[in-house]
Amino acid sequence: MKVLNRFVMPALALVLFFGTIGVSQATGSWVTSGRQVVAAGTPLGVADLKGWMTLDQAALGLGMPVADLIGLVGAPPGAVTGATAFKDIEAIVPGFSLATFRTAVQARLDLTPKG
Amino acid sequence: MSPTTPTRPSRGTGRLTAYQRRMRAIGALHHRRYAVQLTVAALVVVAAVRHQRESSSGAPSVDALCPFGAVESLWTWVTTDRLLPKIHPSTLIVGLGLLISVIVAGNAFCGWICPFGTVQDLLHRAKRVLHLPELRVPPRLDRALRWLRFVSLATILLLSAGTVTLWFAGFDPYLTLFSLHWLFEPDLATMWPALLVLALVLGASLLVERAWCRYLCPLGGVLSALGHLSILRVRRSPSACTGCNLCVKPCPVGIDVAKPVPSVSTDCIGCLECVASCPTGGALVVSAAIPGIRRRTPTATTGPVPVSIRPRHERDAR
Repeated sequence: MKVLNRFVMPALALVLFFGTIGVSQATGSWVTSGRQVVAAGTPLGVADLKGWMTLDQAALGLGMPVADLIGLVGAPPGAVTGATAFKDIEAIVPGFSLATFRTAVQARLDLTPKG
Repeated sequence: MSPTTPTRPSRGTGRLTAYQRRMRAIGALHHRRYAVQLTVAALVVVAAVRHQRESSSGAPSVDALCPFGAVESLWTWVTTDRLLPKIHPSTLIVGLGLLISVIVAGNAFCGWICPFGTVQDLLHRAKRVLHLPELRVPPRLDRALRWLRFVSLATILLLSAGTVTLWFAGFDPYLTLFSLHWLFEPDLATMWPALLVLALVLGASLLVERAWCRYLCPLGGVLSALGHLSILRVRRSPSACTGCNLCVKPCPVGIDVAKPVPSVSTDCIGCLECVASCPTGGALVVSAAIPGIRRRTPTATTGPVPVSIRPRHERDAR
């Protein structure tokens, strides 16, 4: 059993904990779903839709009319607008889930003729 | 002045009494630990503010920095073959970092890094400044209440896997406090359960030091179990210990450090308060040993460091 300087314990804990995070960031393994800029011309796939996004942002990225997206949400008329975030729709439309919504949007996009 | 009379530690470089050396060690430990804790907590607050204020920064919410998300994700994936939605993949990296850290360096994460532990330590300091009374939990009740961490852990994992949602996110006091939703997007109608849990936890931490860590933290339950695998641990030398019990009172999580066992409990958060408080060199040490390999002859000659156990007034008089 090797007796060590007592500060070796927290020093190693800090180095190993933050070192793992640092290495993952350096190698590109650190993935979070933070808010990003969604501007016109930034193409989004249905998998890119996040809870923090508004319907306007989603429509912009997907290249769909926002009215179509509002229709797919299945909310009562006027309850959801383009400025509503997906995470807030869950409280307005019982049973709404972003995963199901993505599937519905993908189906709509598949029906839309490309070009 | 009598050799046994304690004096305030001086800044000079002259010979110090054992009491002065101990006070200096405790002071140095406090400075370093609080500096690290406050730095980490400040980084988390900055991340939360960036997430709330800078919508174009890509800054994730603070749950991306919580290692417990990794536990919930892995459990749900193993038991249901499904992934939890709305969870940041980064939590798996944070969880891996914590696992490596715990196996090598014990649960020092709780005592030095965890921002919610920092908040509880600050509350305890405020309580001491305000001279509020400390609630002493009877030992038997304390031992029983510590099992609540595992009840809490099992409940959260079962409900997360059962609902395939981050069920605990709506009640997690760390997330409630550090996400800063209560500051930037206050909505009492939806947030009241989380705020109520936070208020109860902080209130309990005012009464009992680090009450959340001792009795309810689900991650603490995981780390307490993993602590048996830790290479570095605070260990007690029965041959050097004089049984003065000075190490017991400063322990933030109420471990009976002076209990005659070679390794301090795996509930230890690695704060080193007990080591700094110990007046006998070598009685409490941080040492490295491969878990599961026991020393053959735990006799007086196998202690970490041979030390004097002369009475304190003799040592002070040197």
